Amino acid sequence: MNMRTLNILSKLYYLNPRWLYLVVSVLLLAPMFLPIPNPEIDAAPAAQGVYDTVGRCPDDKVILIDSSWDMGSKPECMALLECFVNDLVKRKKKFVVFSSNVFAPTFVMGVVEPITDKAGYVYGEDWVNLGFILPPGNNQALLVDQLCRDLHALRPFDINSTPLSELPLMQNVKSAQDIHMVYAVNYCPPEQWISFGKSQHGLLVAFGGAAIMAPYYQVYVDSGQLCGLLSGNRGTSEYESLTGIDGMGKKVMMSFGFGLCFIIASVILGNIGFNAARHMRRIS
Amino acid sequence: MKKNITRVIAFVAGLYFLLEFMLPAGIAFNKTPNPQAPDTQTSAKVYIVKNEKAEILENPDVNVVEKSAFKITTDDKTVFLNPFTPSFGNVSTFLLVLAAMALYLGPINLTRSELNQILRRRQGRMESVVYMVALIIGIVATASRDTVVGPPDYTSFQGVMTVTYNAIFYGVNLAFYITSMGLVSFYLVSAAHRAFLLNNLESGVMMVSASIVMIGLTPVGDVLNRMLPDWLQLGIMSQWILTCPNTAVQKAVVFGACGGAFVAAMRNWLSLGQREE
Repeated sequence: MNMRTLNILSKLYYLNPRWLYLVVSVLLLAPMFLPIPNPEIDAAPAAQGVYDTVGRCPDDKVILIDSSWDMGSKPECMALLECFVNDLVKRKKKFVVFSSNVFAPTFVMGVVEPITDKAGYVYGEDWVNLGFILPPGNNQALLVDQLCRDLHALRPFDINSTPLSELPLMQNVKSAQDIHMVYAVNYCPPEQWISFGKSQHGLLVAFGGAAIMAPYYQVYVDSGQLCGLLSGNRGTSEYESLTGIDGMGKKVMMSFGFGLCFIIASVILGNIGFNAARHMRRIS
Repeated sequence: MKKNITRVIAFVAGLYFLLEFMLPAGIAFNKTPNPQAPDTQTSAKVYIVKNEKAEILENPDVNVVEKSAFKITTDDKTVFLNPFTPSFGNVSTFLLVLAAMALYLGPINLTRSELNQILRRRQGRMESVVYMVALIIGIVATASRDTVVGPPDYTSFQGVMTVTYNAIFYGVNLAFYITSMGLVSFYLVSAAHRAFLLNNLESGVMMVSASIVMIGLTPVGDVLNRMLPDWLQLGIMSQWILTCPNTAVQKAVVFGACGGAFVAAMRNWLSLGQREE
């Protein structure tokens, strides 16, 4: 390879990062405005596990959703919550939602209320929002443990300050025995649901977390401690494929896919440029 | 003296939670398991002999309203299976109170430091002024806003405060947070381009496995899967990387971290290794 070619290739390594930022911006935004059809996504066993566990929920039990994400993880977690709630209302499952993050209830309301209103779900009978629950001593383990033992003692009111005893659904939901499964959605869902919810109280636990956390939580799916896992936009898209409801997950999946492909391309370009520059230094 | 009081409180509190968690259900009672009355509703083994609980369970006239691993509730009484469980709620509430006290420590210290900055006319005092103004407006707006759902009444003080609260929370805080998180994606690409270099075998293995997992996550991976033969399915390869090598590594990391956390917890509980003054 002559010096001229090496010189051109080495410029790939010293490329101004602003060009990369521009390309990323275009790749992330373009699929949102262009009429690109939703991709066909094959569901992984972890997503199938969540779907099957929801299907096995008996009528006399509820599904508990721990939705504690906020603006930082909104792009991934909002879709993770939306696809799950869409499935619950489609299959007529009753659910209770709460947050252990003070910012989260606003976002929960923004996702859950439009879906339940559209599906004709009655608040207090088909679903309940407990709002923000402060973990005792800022300790998530105590929150999970106490919630599983006596939910009414931990949180006697719902988000509207209505006593739980006045809500028909909550009259039958008092402890872990009345809960079929827990679905924790967060950037990094608390492991205490596994150590206390699953091991101590026998709850079925599924997580919806950021894609970057998938390698960490996959261990618990493998060991059977998590009945399922939805990771980032990919997890959302897989779940939407299973439920047959196209939502936010598939809409952003193309952007997500383009972004990941460009990261791989950046690694390749950076390495070509780096090796060309190194080769040039050796020759000169 | 003060240090010893703290040590004793830490030890007793730790011992309480340890015993409450570790002691098996029924420890407060005469511990003879009754094979004729297995508790099918819970994973905990239930012990029944000559005690209040046995009387409840063996008396057909008593209506057991609720039975869990922790308590049995009848129409008129609740019997806890572990002697520490009845006070669990109170202890947790006490922790909540402590946490609430600690919550103010941060803002108070920060405000003192910022106030100092302004009073002593140090460099960067304008940032401190912004902090103080935002703090005051934030407290007033949060305390005075109208919590009723619906459009605010702009003519009232509460309505104005509601608008102010929404502007601070949704207009500024939310936008800043989302922007800062969004910037991560740009830095990610920049780091992948400049820092992820193929220098040795380890980085090569990492790069190949990361690329397979990433392509397996994209719709491109699904399209490729439909064209590739069975033995070259990206989805299967990606799943294998996540479930086999990744699981092994993660388990090793978790074991190590848990060991460290256990040691740290024991040191805290027993107040070991604290600096003597």
